[in-house]
Amino acid sequence: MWKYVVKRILWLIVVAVGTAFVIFTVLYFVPGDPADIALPTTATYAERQAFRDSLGLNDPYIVQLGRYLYDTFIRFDLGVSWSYNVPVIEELMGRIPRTIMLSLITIIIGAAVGIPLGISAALHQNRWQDHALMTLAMVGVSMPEFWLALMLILLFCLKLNVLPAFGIGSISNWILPVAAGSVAGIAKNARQMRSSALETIRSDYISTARAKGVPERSVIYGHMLPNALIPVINILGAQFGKSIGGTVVLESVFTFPGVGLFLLNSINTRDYPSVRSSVLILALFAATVMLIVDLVYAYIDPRIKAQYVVSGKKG
Amino acid sequence: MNNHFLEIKDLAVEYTSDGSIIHAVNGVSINLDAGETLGLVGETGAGKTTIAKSILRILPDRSAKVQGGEVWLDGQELLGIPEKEMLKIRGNKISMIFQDPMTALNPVMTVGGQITEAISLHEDMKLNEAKKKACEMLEMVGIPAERYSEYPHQFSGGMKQRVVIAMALACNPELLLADEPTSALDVTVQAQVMEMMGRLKEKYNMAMILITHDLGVVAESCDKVAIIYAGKIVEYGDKEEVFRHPAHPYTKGLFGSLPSMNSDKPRLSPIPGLPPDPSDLPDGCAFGPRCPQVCDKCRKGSIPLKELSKQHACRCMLN
Repeated sequence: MWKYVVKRILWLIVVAVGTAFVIFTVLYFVPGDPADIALPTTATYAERQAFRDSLGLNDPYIVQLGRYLYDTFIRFDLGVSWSYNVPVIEELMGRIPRTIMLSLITIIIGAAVGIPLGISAALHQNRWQDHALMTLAMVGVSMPEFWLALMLILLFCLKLNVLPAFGIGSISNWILPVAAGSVAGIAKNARQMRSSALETIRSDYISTARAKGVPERSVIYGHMLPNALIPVINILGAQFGKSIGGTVVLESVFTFPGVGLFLLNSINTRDYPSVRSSVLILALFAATVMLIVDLVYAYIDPRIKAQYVVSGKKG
Repeated sequence: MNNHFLEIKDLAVEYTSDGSIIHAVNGVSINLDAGETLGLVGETGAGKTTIAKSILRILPDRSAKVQGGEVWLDGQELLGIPEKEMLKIRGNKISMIFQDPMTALNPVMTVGGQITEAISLHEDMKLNEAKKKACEMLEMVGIPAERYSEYPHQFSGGMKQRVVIAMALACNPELLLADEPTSALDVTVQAQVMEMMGRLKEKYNMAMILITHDLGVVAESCDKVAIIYAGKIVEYGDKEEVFRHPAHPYTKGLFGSLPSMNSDKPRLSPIPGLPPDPSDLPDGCAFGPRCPQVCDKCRKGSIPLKELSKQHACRCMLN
C-alpha cells in the first residue's frame, strides 16, 4: 500500500512538470504582447523592446522554457508578478487558502446534503418525494453556475439587500458564493446516490442480510450504504477537481479574491509568471485531491485495496 | 391440527411488472416434518425461489404480493405476524442459502464479520463470544479460522458457498431453505458442498427445502420431492415413489431429459416448447401445450391434485 502511495506522489511531480510545460507553451504562442498592456500607448518601439528585453521575452522559446523550468523546479522560484510587482508566491499564499476553503465548503455541502437526499429519494422510489427531489435535482444540474450566481445577487443584494455581492471579510461574504457553488454538486450527488442505492439494494447480499434477520434500518445503513457510496465517492473526487477550476467563474462573479480571480486578471494583463503559477498550483491541488480520493476509495472497498497491493508488488 | 413442523397451505404470490400481473405461485401446499428434506424441482421461473422467499417474507415489497395462503412453522403462522417478530425468526429459526455465492456476500465486510453479525442478532452473546462462535462455524465448514478477517473477494466460489452455509447455520436453524446451493459451483465442489450440508443437517436435525433443477441432487439428499410447474405443484410425494413411478407427463419429461448410463438410447428426449408466460397462463393444465398426451379434458378448468397413493399425488387428468 505505501509503495502505491509513494508511486502516486512521484507521479505528482510528472504532472507538475507536464502542466508547467504545457502552460508555458500555450502562453508563448498566445497572441498579445505584455509590453502593449504594461506600457502606455505613447511608448516608442525602443521602449517596448527594452521592456521585452528586461523580461527576457526576446529570447528563443527553448531558452525561455529552460529558464522557466529551472526557476520553478530547481530554485523553487515562481517569479515576480509583472502587474503587481510582488513575488507571485506571496500573492498566491494569501489567496490559496480562500480558494481551497471555498471549494472545500461547496464539496462538503454538496456531499452532506446531496447524499442524504439521494438516499431518501431511493427509499421513496416512484413516490412523490422521489419525483419531487429528482425534478429539483434535474433543475439543479442544468443550471449554469454563473447564471445562478447572478440570480442570487439579483435577489439577495439588489432586491432584498440582505447579503453582500462581493468582497471578503465577514461570514456573510461567503454565503452567496458557497450557495451558488454547491447547488450543482448537491444535485449531482443526489442523482448518483439515488441510482447507486437502487442498484445496490437489489444485490443478492442485501437479500442475504435480510434473510439473516438484519433489521431494515441496518440493512440500509450497514449493508447497502457502504457499497452504494463507492461510485459516489468517485464522482465526488472528480467534482472537487472540477470545482477548483469552477472557482474561476464563481470568484469573478463575486469578485472573491482567490486564485481563480487572480488567474483571470493575470490572463487579461498578460502577467505570465502569475498565470503559470496559478495554473500550476490549481493542477497540483486537483491531482492531490484525486490521490486522496483514490486512497479513501481503497479504504472503503477492499477489492480496490487488493489491486493496489498487487500492483505495488509488481512495480 | 398442525401436526407437521412446516405446513404451507395454498400459498399464492403475484408480481406486478409494467401493469401486467405475473402469477408466480398459484396455490402451493407443502408439509414437512422436522429433520425431513424436501426437494423442490422445476424449471427456471417456475416459482421455486419465490416460495422460499415468501416463507421468509423477504420478497421485494413493491413488486411482489402474497395473495393468499398460510405458512405454519412449529404452530406459528408466519405470514400474519408483525415484522418485528419475523426478524427474530429470520436467520434464527429459518435460514436461507442463496443461489449464487459470488454475489451473496457483502463485498465490503469481512466474512467473519458477516457471520458474527448473524450470531449477535439472535444470540444473547458478547461480541467476543460471537466472534469465537463465528470462528467455530468457519472451522466447521472447513475454512481455517485465521481467514476470519478476509474479504469475500479473497475466497473461491466453493469457499464462499461454505461461508454462506456457515452463516446460515450459525444460529442452529430448524428449517433451512437452500436455493440451488450448488448450481453455481464446479461439479467436484458441488459434491463436497452437498456432502457437507447433508452431514450438518444430520447433526442439527434440521428440516430442509432444497430448491434445485438437478434430479441427481434430489436423488441423493431428499426424502420428499415436489415438482413445480408454472407456480403449481404438479407432482408431490416420497422421493422413492416419485422416482420409481413418475405419474405426471412433465415429471416423465424431466427424467427423459437425463442421460442414462444403463440404456443405450442415442439421444436424450427433451421436453419440447418453453414454459408458459406466467402473466398469461393457459386455461386448464399449464403444461397442456407441451404435453405429448394432452386431450380435451386438459384444456378447461383447474386440474385437481389427485392422490395416487398415501405418499404420492399428481395433478393430471390422465390418472
